[in-house]
Amino acid sequence: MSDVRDAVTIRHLRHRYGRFPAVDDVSFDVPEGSIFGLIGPNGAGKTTTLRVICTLLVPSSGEVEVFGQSVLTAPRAIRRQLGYMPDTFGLYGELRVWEYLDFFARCYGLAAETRDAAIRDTLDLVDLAAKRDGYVRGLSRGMVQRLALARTLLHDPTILVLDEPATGLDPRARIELRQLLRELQRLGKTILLSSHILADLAEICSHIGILERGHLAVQGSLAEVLNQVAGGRTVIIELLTADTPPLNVEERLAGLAPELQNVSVTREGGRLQCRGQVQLDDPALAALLTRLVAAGLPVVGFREQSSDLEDVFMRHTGPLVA
Amino acid sequence: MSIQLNPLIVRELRGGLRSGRRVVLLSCCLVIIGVVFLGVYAATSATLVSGSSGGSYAVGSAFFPMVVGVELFFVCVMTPAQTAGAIVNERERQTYDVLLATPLTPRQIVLGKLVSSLAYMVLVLVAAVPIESLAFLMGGVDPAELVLASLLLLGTLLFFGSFGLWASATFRGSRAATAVAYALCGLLTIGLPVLALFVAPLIGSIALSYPTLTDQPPPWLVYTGEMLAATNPWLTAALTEAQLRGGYPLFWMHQTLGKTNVDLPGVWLVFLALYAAGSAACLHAAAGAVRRRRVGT
Repeated sequence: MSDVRDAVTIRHLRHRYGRFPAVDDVSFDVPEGSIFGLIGPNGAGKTTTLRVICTLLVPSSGEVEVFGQSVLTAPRAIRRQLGYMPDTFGLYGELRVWEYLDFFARCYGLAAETRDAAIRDTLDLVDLAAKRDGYVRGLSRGMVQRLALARTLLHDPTILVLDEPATGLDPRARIELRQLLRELQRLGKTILLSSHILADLAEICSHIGILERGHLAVQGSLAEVLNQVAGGRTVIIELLTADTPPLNVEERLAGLAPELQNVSVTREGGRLQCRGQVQLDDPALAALLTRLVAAGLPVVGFREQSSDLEDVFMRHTGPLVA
Repeated sequence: MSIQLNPLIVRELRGGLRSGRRVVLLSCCLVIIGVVFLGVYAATSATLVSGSSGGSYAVGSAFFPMVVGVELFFVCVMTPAQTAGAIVNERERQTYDVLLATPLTPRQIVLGKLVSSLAYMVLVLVAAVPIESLAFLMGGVDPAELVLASLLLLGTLLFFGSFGLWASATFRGSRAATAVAYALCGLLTIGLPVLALFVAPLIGSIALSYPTLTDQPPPWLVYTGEMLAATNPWLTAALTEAQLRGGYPLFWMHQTLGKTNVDLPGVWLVFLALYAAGSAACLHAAAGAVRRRRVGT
């Protein structure tokens, strides 16, 4: 039995806009300390689900709990535990950066003596300390996104709810965002985010849920989902054995790692690239790597093929035009 | 324990009042009040030349109602614009969800928005005090006149502001909210007096057919008439000025209309009661509208 408790628990969530069911019987758990990625095409119900969790929408039916507290009966307590960043940043351009953060620090009831330190720390964390006295309207898109993230962190929430945080960012800003989210996870935050950018999610999410037309098509840890849906995870092992015939490698791998299926070997420069499918979780995958190295195979690369999430996504979401 | 100022007020004082447009608008208001003073001064300067103190009293007593009238005009014209956008603008600039996701209660949001929106109007009124005080230097103005004028201005400001805020919390677009806020302002300040102009002859002809109505009007009719008059800030100001200049008691007046004797509260009292009740109702409804946008309080 796992010791990790659930930060967010959703059971049979339904929400309708008029006669249109935006979310229909959705249930999932977000484990504490995880990065949970909610994936789905436009109109799948991602934002509606996040808004219900953030107490901004009364669900038509179902239960949503944050650390055991219902959003319907303890909304104020939940708001203090959450940091919410909507898909539109919506900023007060006429304020200076520190004034903007000071406003939200006051909204969350931070005492005067702790506000300055909180503002300084969050600006340092998102690397915006140099812009402290600049006007919000003068910030670039990437800086605005980091400022919005700083706002969500001001009151030291335990859970961050980020709706499409990477939308509109250039590649550099996306990489910085990924690094920042990993850092926040390391600091103990639970992060629930939605995104269209599957490559980003595959790299940082420990858990995913795929929403399709209001239904949750699949959910679980990334490894579980890939195992369950894609018939396994595709692993790429790179060996520094240019002089070893591929046939010999396949035989050795078959003996050392019988769980590796459908192995194909190709030569890439001075390396042999072995691609195979496994149905293993992360610890078992680590054990496999240890076994290969211990057996004397010159492993120079061992990674999972990140595009698998795209396969899962495509398999579980229909075309926009039927 | 330190008392924390409402965050919305702090934000408005930092950001909103920094706008150059507002500085220009404030300057324009003061220039207009100054021009009114110069106009009154020029019109009554002949009496000043004679050197009698009555001349300066005449300037003071003529100027003060004029400046209050101008300020009331500013309040009626500018207040709906200030508050009708207060909440709906948050929605339009996509900051409303972030605001609602904080632990601020709907009441805190509404009161913060009201005070921060009206702060600018209060600034306009306060900035005019030095010019207003010229009337005191010249004499002819009773301190009670100043107190009542201030109450009248603040009552109008509060009610029109609260109604604008209700419209802002209720309607989805700033145009609709502003239109509705100005509609009520127009109805109370212009619509009802214009309607009265058309209805008065009709009532007069009906009254002629029923002599008892003029000989001995029922008290409820008298009270209703006063209440209708008290819905209009201009009429309230004019009647209160007449009450003060006529030397009548400020709070209760004994009136004899035909054979009917009634004790009427001062029209300014009725005005303040009506506008205070209206403001409370509007703010309550605005908080309800904010509450409906999210879960619980």
